[in-house]
Amino acid sequence: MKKTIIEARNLYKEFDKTAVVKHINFTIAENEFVTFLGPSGCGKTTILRMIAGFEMPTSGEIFLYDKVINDIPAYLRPLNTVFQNYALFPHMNVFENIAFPMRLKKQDKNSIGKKVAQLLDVVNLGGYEQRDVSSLSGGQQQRVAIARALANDPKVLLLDEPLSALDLKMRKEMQVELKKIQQEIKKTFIYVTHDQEEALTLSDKIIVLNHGQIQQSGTPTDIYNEPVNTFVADFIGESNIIDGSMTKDFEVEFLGKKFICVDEKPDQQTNRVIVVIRPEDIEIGQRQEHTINGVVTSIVFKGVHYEIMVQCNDYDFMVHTTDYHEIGKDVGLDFGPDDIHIMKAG
Amino acid sequence: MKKALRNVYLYIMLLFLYAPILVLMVYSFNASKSRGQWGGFTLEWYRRLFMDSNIQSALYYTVLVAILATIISTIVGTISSIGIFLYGNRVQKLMLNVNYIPVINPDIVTGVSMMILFAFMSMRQGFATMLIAHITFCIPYVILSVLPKLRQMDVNLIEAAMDLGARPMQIITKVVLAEIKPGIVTGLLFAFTLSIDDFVISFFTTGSGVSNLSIYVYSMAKRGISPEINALSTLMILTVTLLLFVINKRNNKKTKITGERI
Amino acid sequence: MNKNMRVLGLPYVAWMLIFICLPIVLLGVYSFTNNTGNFSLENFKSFFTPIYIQILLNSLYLAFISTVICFILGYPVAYIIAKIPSEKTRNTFLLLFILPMWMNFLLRTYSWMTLLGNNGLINTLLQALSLPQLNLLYNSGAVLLGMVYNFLPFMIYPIYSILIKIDANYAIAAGDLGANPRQTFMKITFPLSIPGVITGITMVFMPAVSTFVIPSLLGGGQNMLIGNLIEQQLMQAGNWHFGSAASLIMMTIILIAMQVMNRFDKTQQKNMEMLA
Ligand SMILES: Nc1ncnc2c1ncn2[C@@H]1O[C@H](COP(=O)(O)OP(=O)(O)OP(=O)(O)O)[C@@H](O)[C@H]1O
Ligand SMILES: [Mg+2]
Repeated sequence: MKKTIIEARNLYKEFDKTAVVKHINFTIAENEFVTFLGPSGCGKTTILRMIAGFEMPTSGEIFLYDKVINDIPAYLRPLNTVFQNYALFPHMNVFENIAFPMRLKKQDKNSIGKKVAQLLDVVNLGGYEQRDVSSLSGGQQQRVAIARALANDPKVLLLDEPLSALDLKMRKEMQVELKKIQQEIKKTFIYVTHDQEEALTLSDKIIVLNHGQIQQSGTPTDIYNEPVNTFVADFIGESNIIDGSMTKDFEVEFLGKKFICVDEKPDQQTNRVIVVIRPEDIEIGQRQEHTINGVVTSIVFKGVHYEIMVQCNDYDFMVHTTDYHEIGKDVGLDFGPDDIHIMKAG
Repeated sequence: MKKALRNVYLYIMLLFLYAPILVLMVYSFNASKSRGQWGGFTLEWYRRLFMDSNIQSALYYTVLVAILATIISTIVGTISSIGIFLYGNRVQKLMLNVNYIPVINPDIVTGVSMMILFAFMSMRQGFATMLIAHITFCIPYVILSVLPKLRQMDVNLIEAAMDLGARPMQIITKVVLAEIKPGIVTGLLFAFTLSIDDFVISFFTTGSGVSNLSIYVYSMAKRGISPEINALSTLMILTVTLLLFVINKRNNKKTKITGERI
Repeated sequence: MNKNMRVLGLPYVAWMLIFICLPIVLLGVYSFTNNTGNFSLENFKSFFTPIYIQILLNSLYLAFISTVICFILGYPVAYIIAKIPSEKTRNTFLLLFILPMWMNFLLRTYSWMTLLGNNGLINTLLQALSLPQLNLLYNSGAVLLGMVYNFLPFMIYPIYSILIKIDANYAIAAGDLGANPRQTFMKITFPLSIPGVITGITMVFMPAVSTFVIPSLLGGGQNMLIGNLIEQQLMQAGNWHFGSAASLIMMTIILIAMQVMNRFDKTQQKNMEMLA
């Protein structure tokens, strides 16, 4: 079991009497890559800023190891932040930017020089020391910002949507790069994004937020495969969300058919449940006894797969498949018991 | 505590800036001519002020020059801006550099050099020379206010207007002027305040019998302090404050309507 | 609008030639000629004699000191105002500090005569406290005071304008990297505000060097500065040639000073592009 480095207990924050972060608890282990994921305005940045020390919690505690750090000012916390717009100092070149925190500590010239070179190596910018920060591309500025944030040897690196200013291609490249850097330097990364794909690619652990509350936390696979509610199901990847009913465990009825599933009945008060099925878990083919039957209404090529909409009596299914099915074709939809995710209704 | 200290500093500096003016205003109501003691409240100095024909003439020239210089420099400056705007980079830069001379030159150099010019052209110094000088130092500010607006203007606007059949002159009157109006207004206000406030250039370019309020204050102040100047100062300060207040109010109202800051 | 409409610029070109260029040329011609109208360096020769050099140095010295004082007093004002969180309060304070710029320059100078004079307010107060009276008016201290008082807003405004534009994230980032508030100011905020400081210095130094109103009203006869010299030569002594030469010298010094400042500013310029 890894050691916990950051912990939040009953963390609460309000701005002008509006609760933004609502009594949340989480733990982050050493050397973990943890991502806060959620839609815009859900409080991700606020949480990160409280960890960094730029914002005071209204109530609750933040622990670094077993010490409460609520009252320690930002500049004394052994954490560093990579800012969304980089915040590279415009009056200093690359070298001076990265050397800045070491100069503050009055380290000697030689070791500063060595350390800067080493950090630039880590971020793949060897030889860029004397460049003006304004002459760098967005991706390069981002790397300098990461190198600078690492110069203090922080225990934890905080990153708030660090890739959002980059174009798609650059963003993909930097995702790979970031993961590599994290594995190389073996530090805890706390990452904020609203891009679910980014979160799935990078993280060891994802904390899904909505309206200032934690919806679910777990490994990317857990979150993707076992979303605990429809919000998570819908936010992480695309989902078919269907009303259904369950009278006993491991059997669910929806769209007029009974299916075997792997979940127990979630709520004893009511038979109503919600069924979630991922588009890529559905097989599309010939109509058969046990399939849900419908008609293809649209097909769009998405680069790797086709996204097909299939109209069944009451519900339009979204299906991802590599096979082509023309519009108007009668098809049957098939899926296995473990592709059916049952959630509490309401 | 630290915050309190900051506020104290701000208020001390404000006191430094405003105390002399306030003292002067208070003295303008002092019945005792020697400022040693307070001789009671009086409006005597204001009465004398209004009776003084020199002051009336100075006020007349100040306002007249300011209005004429503002109107002329706003019109000339706006038209010239359009002309300058259409020139290529190099010519435009040269024109703007010359235009910039009165802005960066110390007033006294502008004043002295124009004084020499008028002598060279054998013009008798007086109202006309002072007006010319005012126009000369006002136009550059109008151009500097209008030109950026022309540059910000969307070229598509002009092309769209042409496309819709507007003739060149119509484009200017119907499209361009509307677009650069904020710049023109800024330039106009600049010109007016500079002209009405000017002392140094007027001092060197006017002739006997024609002075503006600043020149009048200067000549009186050189002879020492007099309660009439206090009264005159009070009126001038109140006028400026009122004017600024009105402009500010107007801007605020506009802000509310358009929802943007000006 | 088309290229033909360039003619709209021509009347002003003529105006500029007559009323901006020609006067400067004439100023040059007057400086390099004597009373008989012949070329001569006489004016410059007589300018570079101890009396006038002393006046020039004194002008530069007072302008320099007043610029320094304006900076020391003005920077904190700009900084404190820029740090006020509420936009409304901030704008109100800013307005209060730059409002004096719109008040007549002469009146502002004159107002100090009321305070500093022999039977002015300060001496009256001293007398009431039975303290000895002071000679506050008609000395270089009064001139300095007048300069600082008149030009302080010109220092505050440009510095404020820059400070308010500096992205708050730089200071936050510096704090995050371990800089304490003092270090953040010295290493980040202040260096980034230098372009504003330079504008402020230029806007104070230039009028301070050339002013003749302040020394003439507050300095009395003994404290002659270069501005007074020019004024005196043209308006009283009638020696236009010498006055022109003095103007030309002053103009040259100011232009050189501005050039130096600009050079200094250029290196900052590209940094500022990132702030914009
Ligand atoms: N300083 C502040 N004052 C008042 N309200 C704030 C402040 N900072 C954030 N908020 C509000 O708190 C809520 C959460 O903000 P936060 O920036 O944490 O969201 P976020 O999840 O990071 O969103 P995004 O993905 O858009 O960055 C928002 O409704 C925001 O308007
Ligand atoms: Mg955010």
